[in-house]
Amino acid sequence: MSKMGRLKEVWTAQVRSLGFRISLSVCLILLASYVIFLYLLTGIQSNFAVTQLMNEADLFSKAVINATNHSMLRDDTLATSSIVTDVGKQEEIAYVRIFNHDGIIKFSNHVSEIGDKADMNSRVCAVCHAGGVVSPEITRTGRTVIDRFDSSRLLVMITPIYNKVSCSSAACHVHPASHRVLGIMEVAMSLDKTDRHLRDIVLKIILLGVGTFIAVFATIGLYIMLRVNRPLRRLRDGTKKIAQGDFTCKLPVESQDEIGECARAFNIMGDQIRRRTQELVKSRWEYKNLFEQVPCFICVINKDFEIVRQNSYMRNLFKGSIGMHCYEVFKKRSEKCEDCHADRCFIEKGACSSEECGITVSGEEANYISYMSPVLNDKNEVLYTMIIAVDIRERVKLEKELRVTKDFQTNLIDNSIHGIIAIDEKGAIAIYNQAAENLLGYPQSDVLGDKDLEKYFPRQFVEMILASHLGKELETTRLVAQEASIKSKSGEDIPVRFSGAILYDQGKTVGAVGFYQDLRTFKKLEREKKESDRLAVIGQTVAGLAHGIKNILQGLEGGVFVVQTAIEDSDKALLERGWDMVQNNIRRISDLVKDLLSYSKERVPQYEEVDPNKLVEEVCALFEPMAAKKSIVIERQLDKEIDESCKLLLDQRGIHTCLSNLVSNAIDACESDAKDVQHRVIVKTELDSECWITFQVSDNGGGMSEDTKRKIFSSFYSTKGSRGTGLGLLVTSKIVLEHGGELFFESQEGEGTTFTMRLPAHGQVQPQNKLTP
Amino acid sequence: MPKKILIIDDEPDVLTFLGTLLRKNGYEVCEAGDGVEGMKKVLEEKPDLVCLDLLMPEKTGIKMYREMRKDEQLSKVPVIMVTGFSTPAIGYMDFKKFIHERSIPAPEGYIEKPVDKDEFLKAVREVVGE
Repeated sequence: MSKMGRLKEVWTAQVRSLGFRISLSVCLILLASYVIFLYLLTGIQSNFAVTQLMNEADLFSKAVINATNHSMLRDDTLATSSIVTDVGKQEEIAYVRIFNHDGIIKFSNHVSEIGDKADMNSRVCAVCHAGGVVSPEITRTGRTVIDRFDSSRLLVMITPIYNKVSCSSAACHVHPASHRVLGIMEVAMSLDKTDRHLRDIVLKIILLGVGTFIAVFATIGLYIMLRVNRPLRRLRDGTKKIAQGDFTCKLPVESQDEIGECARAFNIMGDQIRRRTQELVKSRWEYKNLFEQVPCFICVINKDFEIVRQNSYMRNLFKGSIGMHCYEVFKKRSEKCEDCHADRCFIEKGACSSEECGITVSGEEANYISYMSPVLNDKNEVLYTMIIAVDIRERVKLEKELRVTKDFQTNLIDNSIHGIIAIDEKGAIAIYNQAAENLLGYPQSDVLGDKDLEKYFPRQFVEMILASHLGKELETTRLVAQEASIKSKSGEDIPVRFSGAILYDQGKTVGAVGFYQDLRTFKKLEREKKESDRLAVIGQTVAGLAHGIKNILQGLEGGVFVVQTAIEDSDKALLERGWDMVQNNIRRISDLVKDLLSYSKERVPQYEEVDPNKLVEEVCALFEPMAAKKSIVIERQLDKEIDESCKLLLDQRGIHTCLSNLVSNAIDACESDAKDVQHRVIVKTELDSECWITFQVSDNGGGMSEDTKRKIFSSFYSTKGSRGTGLGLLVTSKIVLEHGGELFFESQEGEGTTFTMRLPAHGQVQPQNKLTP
Repeated sequence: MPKKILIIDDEPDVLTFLGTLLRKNGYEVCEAGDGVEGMKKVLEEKPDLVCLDLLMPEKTGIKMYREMRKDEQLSKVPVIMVTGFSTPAIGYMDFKKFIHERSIPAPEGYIEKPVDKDEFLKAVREVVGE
């Protein structure tokens, strides 16, 4: 069954094949030509044979009539009959009949039918007697009838036998002169031979046709099968493969004809298609990638506002799916937006854009700018609208933040307790806050845009601004917390702490800002503080003084008591001790008063040209007798280089006091030291390259304990008990500071002490911690 | 047997004055010029009372007082502190705070300079008797 089916399939395929059809068509045309040719040929042949036969029959008929004329005229029936019978013996002659005027067979080669009457309805009689009317003259062809007898065809010819004078005048008087036609001669000739000949021709032609048909069919079929069908099948298979996406197929080019051309063209086409397809696939992939990966969301909606396509950005952000409405996805709405832009796009067929705020799947606001463009078909109808939206959440967020920051900064500036004045890149004032207005008194409306910077900024800062605008390299781009003075609108000099900065953006000056801290209150407090400090110092001093005086008083009282007791007891030794006590304490009061005077005096150093070596010499000479008494040597180490090279300006009296104090202290230190050594005090001078003069007083006395070192600059501290006032070092340090110099010491307990004074030799006093605006 | 009193002060005038005053009132007196000498004398003389100056070079009265109170032998020796009124460097209040913080018992007496003769004698009598 399946075999049958397969065969049927193959057959069907063959029948449908081009080769078969072309061969069949050609053969059919050929066959049809043969048939027509055969038809025409047989027709011509047949006509030709019939015409010939007709001629023969005519001649024969005329010959019989002529042959029988004599016997007829003689009314010799026998002779006539014998002529007819003889004539009828010829092979081709089927029969020869002679009818008389009444239609009775008078003579025939078939004796049996003599005397029969002609059937007037027969086809032969109908030649002249059709419709009962005797036709006048009839053509030869008209007299001829093809009749069928038994299985063979007969050509029957009727020849009328016309009345002639000789006939009517014949002795027999059989035929009156009135009869035009005396009788009819009917000759029937067999067509068998002719027909046989024709059949022979037809058979041969049919055989030739069939042979040709088979030969042509086979040749064309084979040719087509081999040279057309096979390449075509390959072409078909190749095309199918290409259709299926297999571009590797190559056809062999077997010939140089159209088929070969076709194969070559196919190969080229295959290559082209492959390349195009690859390009197409690539560009499709690129477009798909672009569509999916582009950093904005894209979707395509149809006229029902249903999403047809969307990219991953959009999927991730809004989690909408194909078929959902755009407003559901973007805005989480249940119906169309009132200001639907897509609608406009569909109607107006034009692109439009708008800024929108959607809601993401997590419920957050999603700001985006959407661009809508219609997707038209070739009939210019809008099928879809494509929405491309740029996510501007970050921008909106930044804008918000910027606004908040700006508000914050504006607030900060407006509400700052410090005045803030800033200029823009053109050098005009752009920021002038309330505190600045309060400070300077100029109303804000007058100041904003003003370019007269000297009115608002300290000169130094204005110069910096100008320099930076001229593109000059600045040493510093900011002033930090400098004290300055600014003139207010009312002309008041306002002390401020000013900080300023030149503002740069990528190396370009874009402005400057200044901050003003009002120091009026501060300055007032500072003055008050100084005053109260002074008062505190006075209190402390008074307390110290009271203590010192109390001690002296104690000494005096004690001395008086001792003297009194000595007098009462007449104890002379005790009296001397008591009297010493009284004297000592009177001296102490004197010293105290002297020191107090020099400490309390607020005096500006009186600079004069001084030779420091000479000064040292004087002081040493003053103390030498006292030192000698105590076996203490005073040694001088003077810098001999000190000459006119440097003009030495010092406060002679002040330095004298200082040196005296230091030498006196040194002698005391040596005196109270129990070491068994030669005690000496060394006074040294030295001028350094910076023109600072150094005085150094060293001793090899007892030195100071750590405790003492900490206290030596406290007022009224003394290690000398009743002998010291506790003011000497304090006075010294005060004078040194007034000179702008410094005083320091080194001391090693048990080994000695060195005090060093360094003074700027030309008396230039360096003011400290003071800024002049 | 008169009571023995040790006076420790860096000022010779004070020593002379207080010594004269106490001797006149029948006490035996010994003297020291600073804390170091004072400690030596306390151990040598075994006085019935120590009059101690609060501020002295070498060893201040505070340090000496603390050492005495730490010493088993000397901890029972009564002490009268003698000091100037509101001394700028170290005041008596500082001293009180100092000994309080270290859980040292307070001295038996306290006299401010300038010393009032009667007040001083009264304080001495209160501690050691006639």
